[in-house]
Amino acid sequence: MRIFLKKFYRDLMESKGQFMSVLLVVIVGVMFYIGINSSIVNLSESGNKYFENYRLADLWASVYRAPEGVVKRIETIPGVKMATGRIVRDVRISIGDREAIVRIITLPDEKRFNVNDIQLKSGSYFSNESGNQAIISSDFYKTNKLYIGQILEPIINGDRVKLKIVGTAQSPEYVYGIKDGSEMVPDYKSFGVIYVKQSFFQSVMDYKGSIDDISVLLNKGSDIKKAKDEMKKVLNQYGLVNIVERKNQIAYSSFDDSIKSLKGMAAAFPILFFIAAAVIIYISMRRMIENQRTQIGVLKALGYSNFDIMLHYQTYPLLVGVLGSIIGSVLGVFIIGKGLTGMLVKYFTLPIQETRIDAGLVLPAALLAVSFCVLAGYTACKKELYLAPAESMKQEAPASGKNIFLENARLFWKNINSIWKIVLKNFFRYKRRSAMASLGIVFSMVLLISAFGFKNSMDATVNVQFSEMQKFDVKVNFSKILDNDELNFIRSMEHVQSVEPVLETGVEISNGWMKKNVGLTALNPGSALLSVLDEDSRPIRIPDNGILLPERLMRALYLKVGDKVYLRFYYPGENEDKDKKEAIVAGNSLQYSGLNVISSIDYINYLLKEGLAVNAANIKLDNPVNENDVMQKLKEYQAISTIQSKSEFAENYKKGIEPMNSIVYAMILGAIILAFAAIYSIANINILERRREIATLSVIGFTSRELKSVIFNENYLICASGIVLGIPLGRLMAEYMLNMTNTDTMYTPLVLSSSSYIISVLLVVLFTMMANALLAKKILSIDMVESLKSRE
Amino acid sequence: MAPIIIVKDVIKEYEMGEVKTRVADGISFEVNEGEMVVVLGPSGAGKSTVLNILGGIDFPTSGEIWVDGNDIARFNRKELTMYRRKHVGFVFQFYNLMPNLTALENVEIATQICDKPLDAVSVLKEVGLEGRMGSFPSQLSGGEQQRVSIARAVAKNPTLLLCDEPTGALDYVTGKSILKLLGDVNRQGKKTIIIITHNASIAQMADKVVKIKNGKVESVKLNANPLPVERIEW
Ligand SMILES: Nc1ncnc2c1ncn2[C@@H]1O[C@H](COP(=O)(O)OP(=O)(O)OP(=O)(O)O)[C@@H](O)[C@H]1O
Ligand SMILES: [Mg+2]
Repeated sequence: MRIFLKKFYRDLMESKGQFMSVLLVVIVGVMFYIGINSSIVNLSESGNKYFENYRLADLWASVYRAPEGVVKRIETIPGVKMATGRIVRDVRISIGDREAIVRIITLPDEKRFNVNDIQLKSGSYFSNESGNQAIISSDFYKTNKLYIGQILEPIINGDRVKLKIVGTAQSPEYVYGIKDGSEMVPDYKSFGVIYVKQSFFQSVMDYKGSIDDISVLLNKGSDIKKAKDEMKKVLNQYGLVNIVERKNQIAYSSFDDSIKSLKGMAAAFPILFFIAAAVIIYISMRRMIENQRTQIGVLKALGYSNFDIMLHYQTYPLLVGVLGSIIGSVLGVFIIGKGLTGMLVKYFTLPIQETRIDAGLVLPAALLAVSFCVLAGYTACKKELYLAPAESMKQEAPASGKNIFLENARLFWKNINSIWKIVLKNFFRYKRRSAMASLGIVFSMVLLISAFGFKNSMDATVNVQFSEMQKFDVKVNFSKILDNDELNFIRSMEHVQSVEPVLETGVEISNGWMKKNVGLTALNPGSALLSVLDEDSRPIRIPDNGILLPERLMRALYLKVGDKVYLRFYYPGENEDKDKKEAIVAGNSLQYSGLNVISSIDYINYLLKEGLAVNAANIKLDNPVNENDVMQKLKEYQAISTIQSKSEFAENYKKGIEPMNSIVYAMILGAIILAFAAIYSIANINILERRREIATLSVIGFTSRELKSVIFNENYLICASGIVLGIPLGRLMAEYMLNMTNTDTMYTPLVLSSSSYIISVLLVVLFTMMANALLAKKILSIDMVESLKSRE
Repeated sequence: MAPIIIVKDVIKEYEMGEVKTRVADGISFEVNEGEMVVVLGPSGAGKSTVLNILGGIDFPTSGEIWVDGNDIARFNRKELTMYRRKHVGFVFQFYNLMPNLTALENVEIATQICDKPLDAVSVLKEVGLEGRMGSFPSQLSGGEQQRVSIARAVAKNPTLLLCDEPTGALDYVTGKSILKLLGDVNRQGKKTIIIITHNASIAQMADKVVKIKNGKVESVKLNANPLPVERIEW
């Protein structure tokens, strides 16, 4: 066997470049596989532990007002393990000269185990000294540079209430720290959670002995639907607003969705590399075997068994597979895995485990990589192995020329030069190999186009959202219904150019037994500061005889334009079934985040048959530079519950999606390696095989340039056919990728600009040229005398 | 008449580790325009080496090779390529045709890069392949393949035709017809031809016979009355 290893080593040294390039492809494949999967495992394990340890609720019920005692009754429902009653309220707060919204959540005065518990990060839990102690969510605390002992003054019920910071904490309930479905990425500067003593907040809110939120933890495996129905029965009398299941809870579902989309990536990308590696191995092994068929015959004649010989040849793919797995695993965990987890931790707040190499991941990756390699190697040599020794010692029949279909296009064939004739004939003569070489380019294109598609779509979302839809500069929400005087007051403020009223509320939309809790935004039909677009991004007028829904909501409820639906409004008092209002679906509307019913204010008033006023306003300034001025003045207005600056919001969103760029870069890097390795190794084989032809052409007097173009033009041809196939496949892949990230509340339509196609094509051509540059030396160093000395 | 080729003191050494082997050890001879020269010598004597140097596909260690007034030993790579392109036609023992091009295309590949090529079709007719122009090398016999390779060399309309054992892989009758073809090219086409062979009888058709042994020219003989191939038997 030692002699075999020696032979193997010499064969290997003869095609180092090829070995390296296929190894590189396997390494990248394993890297992606291990990297993405280790992030998934790390994230979901950390998440699950966190959710379990701090008892993330299975159901959240929100009511108008219920006595604390109701919690005990909920706990008697079969399947319910534990229930916690709280008051949850969003309030406004000024921090420095910025406005933020905080969600005030009550906790028991004395530490107790409860549902949706907190993990204390610093400071301490409430002591029994003063009532106004507060524990701040740690991200909000850090981002706003707060300190323990600091007094915060949120505006609660129209009054400034002093709260003293005693500690910081995080909770699985806010693993993704967004306020609601309308936000896409967390903005810790402007949203946070403040935990306060229940008794204190009850007295501030005039809610003595009452709560408005019940979080429920179920026993494992119990029936969620049943528990939910039972809860409804108990809570209906207290003005039940809604019951949200864990899978729909905004933070949990964001977390879960991003794990799902990671899984989609983990399933798609590594396979591209493994297939490409298998193809390169197959082609290189075919060549090696064809060149060595006489040797194989001799070995067999000498008495070596098929198994011995097979083992010898499989050393190559085995080595590629094993080395690739080892290197890829280490790099995958520590580069992709660490990087990706690090990126995800920017979005999610949870105690994350230390990154480590996990045998449970490395083994399947190695198995996958090795089996792709070995299978390719086996397929490449099985034919020769089962030939009789005498047969394999014979020369293979000389390569036969054949007319290719292009020659039938006489005019074309006559007018191209001989170099192109050689190139075209070779390309079509080795159809299978050409196709396989093109595959590398196809995959490379797929990676590039889906990477750019991902980026384009994200960018387009930002652009449409912030410049085509939202044309206001500042948006304010009020904690009460607004009247005309108040609107006029804002209108008359200095620097305010125009003000448009908005009604924002929650509704339950139902079609038969299917229902969904969504938001409702009502605008004046001519709304100019918030444009409504249809799903083809065309501006539309808000109808005054119906509502607009995002296409995905229509699909979820099996609705089409013209159908009737029922809306139940969450306006205090308006929450009985009899208060359901019939409305007509008039069209679709583009919504990137959140699910909203869009309608005109008049239509809502017509439905509710009462002069319902508005509770928010979009404000346009004469000049955006005056934003701070105006916001300062608006802050004085205690009835305003939130003030949002669009530029801040847009800024935060752009910053929020920035880390995604690293995914795009990783994909581009993968594409480079794929294209390069495929072209390089396949052309390398081509050159090795055609030394004699190249030497002959050189003797005839072909210049270096002409010689190179014989090989290079074929590479360009391979590249071109890969591009032609890669473009539609890349588009499909981009669509698949975005679909993986699209959820109920998040929707990113695929946008692929023509420049992305052009850049992808240029990049692939560039990689081909780079591979060519490396190959040039090989072509020019072919020794004419040596190559032509004897019959091969 | 001034000689068109002057080979002067050509030395070719190969270095293998510490050892230097001299495979051409001061080779000198001259060839006049339109001459048919036969090079004879035992195997390993250095015949191919000299021919390759003369054809611009190998380099001498030292010495001068004057062709048409230029010393090609001093040519750089690019000049050598142009030299091969314009002045040299090569015929090898193993034809070296492009396997996936037809006979005609194999000739055209050469004519396309020259300044004053002959018409590929008529050259193929002249070598007797009128009916096989569309055939691929694998569909042709050895002799026919060698005809294509001669046609390829001739169609370039080169200054000199270099043939390294052109009949080495062929049977007697086919070999003879190939030599006749080369004879015709020499007489009718007025081409300077150098043929390497192991067959001493062929020397009878040459104007000049150069014998090489151990990397040295053993003798140069002029043949006052070269015989046509048909009259030579071996
Ligand atoms: N690349 C090389 N390295 C070392 N020695 C070489 C090399 N190429 C040729 N030789 C040696 O040069 C000598 C002359 O070779 P050449 O091919 O010129 O002989 P030849 O006269 O054509 O022989 P034959 O009639 O067998 O073709 C031989 O002894 C050969 O071993
Ligand atoms: Mg020789």
